[in-house]
Amino acid sequence: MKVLLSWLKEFAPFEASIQTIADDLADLGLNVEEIIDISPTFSGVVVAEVLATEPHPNADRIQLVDVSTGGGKTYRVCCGAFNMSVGDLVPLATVGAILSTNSETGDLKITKREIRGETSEGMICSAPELQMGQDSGGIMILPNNLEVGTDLADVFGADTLFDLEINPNRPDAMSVAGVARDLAARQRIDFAIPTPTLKETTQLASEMCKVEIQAPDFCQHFTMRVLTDVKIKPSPINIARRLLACGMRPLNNIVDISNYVMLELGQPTHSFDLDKLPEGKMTVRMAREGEKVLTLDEKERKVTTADGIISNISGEPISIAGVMGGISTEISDSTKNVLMEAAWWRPIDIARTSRRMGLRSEASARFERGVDVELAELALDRIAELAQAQGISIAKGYAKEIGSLEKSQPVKVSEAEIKRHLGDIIDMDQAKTLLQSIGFGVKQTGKKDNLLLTVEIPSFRPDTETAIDVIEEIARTHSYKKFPLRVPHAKSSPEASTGLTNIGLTKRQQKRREIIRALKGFGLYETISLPFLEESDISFTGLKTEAIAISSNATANESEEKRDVMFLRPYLGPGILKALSYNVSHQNHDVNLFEIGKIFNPSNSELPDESEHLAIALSNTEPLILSQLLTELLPGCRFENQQIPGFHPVRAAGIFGGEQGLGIFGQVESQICKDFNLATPLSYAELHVGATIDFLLEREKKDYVSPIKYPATNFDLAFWVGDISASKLYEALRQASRGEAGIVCELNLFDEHIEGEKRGLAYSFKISAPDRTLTDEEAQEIRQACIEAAQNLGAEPRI
Amino acid sequence: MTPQELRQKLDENRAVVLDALAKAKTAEELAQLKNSLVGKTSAISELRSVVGDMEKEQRPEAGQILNEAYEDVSGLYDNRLKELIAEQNLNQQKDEVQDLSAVISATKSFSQSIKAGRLHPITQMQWRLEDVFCAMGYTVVEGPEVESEWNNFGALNFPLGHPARDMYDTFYVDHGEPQSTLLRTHTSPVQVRTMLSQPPPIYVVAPGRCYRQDTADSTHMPVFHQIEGLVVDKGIQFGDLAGTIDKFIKAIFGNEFKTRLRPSYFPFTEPSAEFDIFVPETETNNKNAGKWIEMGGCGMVHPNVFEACGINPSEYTGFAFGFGIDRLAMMEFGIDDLREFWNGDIRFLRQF
Repeated sequence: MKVLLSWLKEFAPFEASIQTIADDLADLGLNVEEIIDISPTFSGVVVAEVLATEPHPNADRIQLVDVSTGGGKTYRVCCGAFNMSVGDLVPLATVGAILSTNSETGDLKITKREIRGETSEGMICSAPELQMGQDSGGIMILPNNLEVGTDLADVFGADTLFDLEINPNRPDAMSVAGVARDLAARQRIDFAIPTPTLKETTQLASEMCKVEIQAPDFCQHFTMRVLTDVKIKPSPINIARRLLACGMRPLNNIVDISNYVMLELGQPTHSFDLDKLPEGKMTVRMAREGEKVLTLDEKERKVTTADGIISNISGEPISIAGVMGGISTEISDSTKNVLMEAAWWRPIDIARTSRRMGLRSEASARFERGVDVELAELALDRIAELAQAQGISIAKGYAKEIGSLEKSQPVKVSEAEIKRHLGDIIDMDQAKTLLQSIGFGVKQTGKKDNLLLTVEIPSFRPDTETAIDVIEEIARTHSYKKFPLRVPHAKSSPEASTGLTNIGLTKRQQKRREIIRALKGFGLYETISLPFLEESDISFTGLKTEAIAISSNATANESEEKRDVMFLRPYLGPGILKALSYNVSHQNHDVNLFEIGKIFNPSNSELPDESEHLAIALSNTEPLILSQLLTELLPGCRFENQQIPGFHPVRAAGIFGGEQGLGIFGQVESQICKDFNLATPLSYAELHVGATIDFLLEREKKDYVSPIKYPATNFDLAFWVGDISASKLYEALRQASRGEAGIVCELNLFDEHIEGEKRGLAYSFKISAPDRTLTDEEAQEIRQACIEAAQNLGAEPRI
Repeated sequence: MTPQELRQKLDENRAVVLDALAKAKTAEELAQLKNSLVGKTSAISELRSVVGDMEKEQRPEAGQILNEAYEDVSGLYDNRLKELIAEQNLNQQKDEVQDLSAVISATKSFSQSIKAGRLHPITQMQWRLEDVFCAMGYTVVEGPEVESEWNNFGALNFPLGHPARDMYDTFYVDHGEPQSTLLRTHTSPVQVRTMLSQPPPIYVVAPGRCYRQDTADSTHMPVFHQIEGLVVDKGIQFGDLAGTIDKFIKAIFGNEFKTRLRPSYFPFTEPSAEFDIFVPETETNNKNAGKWIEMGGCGMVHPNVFEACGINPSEYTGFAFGFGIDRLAMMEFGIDDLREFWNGDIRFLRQF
């Protein structure tokens, strides 16, 4: 919402500095996104009167114009425009004037020039040449009430534009008047909306047009005025300039007045060419299935039963209510009589219709928020006043129809309720004054410390419906800045002893951090990847075949393109492979990454299956190295060789904590590496974070064993193992090495040896007893038990 | 030749091709047959030349038949080739058997290079925030990223069809009824879950990923990280909100940072506010030095939200706030393009 300072001043005499005004607006919740100085950028341009025009002797497209700047001073100027008549006032850039051009060539300095043999003493300017508006077919004709010779920069004057961000709950602030009301209240200045003065003709508007409302909930009222003796022409400069500054393109005097009053007061209006409306009769109703409206942008638009429309006497839709008018009743250059309509449309319907059609306009933005239901007559009077100033006649009175008009109910707010939310800093008298300052009616009843405010909600604040809405208004107008800063702490809560049990990170959250820190310690870098996958990303590894699709047209309106279907990742693999690939394509090799993130799988429950996964990828690394890393990360876990889709057929394993599967790891299948342009071997693990944390927490519960003080006995054993898996052999040796109760064995695999077809594993043993030094015989027995256990599995001792 | 005869010839050819494909035992063998099966010397190529001799009105049909046959046969060829390559890969790889359960515990290769990794800047920022809030008496709570429409909107006082829902460009997912399930647009559904699962007093923060349809550029991503705070207790007032925000901003950035609240609108809080922080001029590395910047949204919990979550609004009051972690991390580390967070580029990651 763009607001001009000069316009605000028409409602209240603001005198504060620009910065103070901007600060106050922001503090009122009308956030200032930008402050723009739109003062004139030219100098040396004065108001001149056209005395005479005559053809240029040597050029067809140029004429000679004699102008006066008063005091007997006249100039002869060559001019390429022909739209002025003798007696018109025009802007004359005199010799020495400077016009800023906004172009790279810099400012334009006016000099005395000879054009085809005739001397030109200056330049008569168009609106764009002065940066004061759009081209309206030639030079700018100034209002004839200006004094000849006046500096034009003084006529336009300095002005400042505030670009405001208006919240959805502030329909009133979608107008200059509404912004001025808030600001005046804050600065304690009197605010008033001037009453328009009108001279109406004797013709009754109510006899010239009529509306029937068939959708009373959608249209609370439909109010009209009729303008006659209309001559369509460009708007006067002051109107055009303000519209332009506020981001609206001037079109013609009628449409411009309508827009001007919408910006000023917040009531969107629509103008119909009355002569194109048979018998001046219209109907407001919801559209029927299959109906179409040819809208102002020359598009045929289908309407549905959810869209409100206006139809003519033959039942044909001529306008999409509140969203866009139709071409059949459009204002044209030949328009003589105008029906100006100001209505109230139900916000939610306008929101839906405008969104579905992709038609968001200044008008629909206001209807969506809720226009003041009592504003129509004032807005139409203001339009009539501005039209009258341009010689247009105004028919007497309004033609008006009421739908089901809702009256807002007073809201009761108790002192206790206000204090409970805002504390003691605002007393009830203050609250009353604050509310009254922005147009709320307030009655105070009850006794001291138990007062009750009964608040009449003004029609321009339909958003305010409940006590908490009123409390917000009190806080806002008081200023959020004035609240004393307090910091509540869980421990000082009045209910801390009964309610709160846990402060700080939970054990699980701490464990997760520990895992992440450990991975960092191993030299890995943490990455994150987008959880969206294309269809081809999902199935290429064979690990997953299904995923949840993101609904393709969930929010797309008719004007938006359909996108490709995307899926939520069912596992982390594709994302991390893409990250590695990204690195390779930027010549970063041997990158080791990990990622923790959510994965999503279809389910029959209320929500999809969602869990947290951990992915680890080691470039150019054998999976045995990754197995070492996993063993360090998850002490006590074990691996079982498995065939897993996406992995090398004989280099993959499941990760287990006890019997619980924690994840998988292995060497990524070489074809996948090729597809991603990654070197082999690439080792990858993906773990279920929840199960992993469970496993780690479970292990913490293990009983403490104090270190044994007696000397230990060490020996090594090596076996030829064939295809016995190392985890099985390890388990068998661990069992056997325990011997009698209390004996402790540190068992480690320290070598894997491949000799042709044969495979050997070598283990070191460190055994000790808690209460004595083990004898050689005892050690020998345990050694023998281990050999036998291995032989039982089919392993041969390797001597 | 008539189209019928052409069809017959092609069917015969298909059988021949299938036979040849089955007989080829290696990818190399198959590749040598390419020309004769689907290439220039294939039966299909020869039959193409026949089309010219056919009746004019039969030519389009014949052409189509030929094209379909070609697509069919070349598809068969490609599939078989892939099959053979996969088979060969598998056979080759079978010899590379490794027993991954044999974890060598000796100080072999991994620890040879002493090198520390790095945590993602967003994780670092998130942990810092969590730690500050834990010190202020809060616990960290979490919730799912795929949420029900009710938790994300309904319980938060967004009535169905309310235009305020359009402030969030929501990703819906195909699960259950249309538009019943979505990627959470903010961390606020965790508020709802928390209030429904534990009685007040509540002092929690909920960090996590959120999603909104947005085209990726230097300041927007469809996925971002938020942290949300919720306090529900007896006697909580607007000043508690203002003070808490001021406190944690100072705790994170330093005492010279200032904060301010500005009125705003969110359906789930009232009074609602935006909160801004002022970056002091002394922060010369910060491009926002000397400026107020928008940080996040906050407000007193709306009574309708309390009611939807089974908390009595005449007994308890509370406040909530939320802001983006990504933007904070950008500011803290001087990162100027959001997309960098998501590439996994080692040259980015190793700087933090």
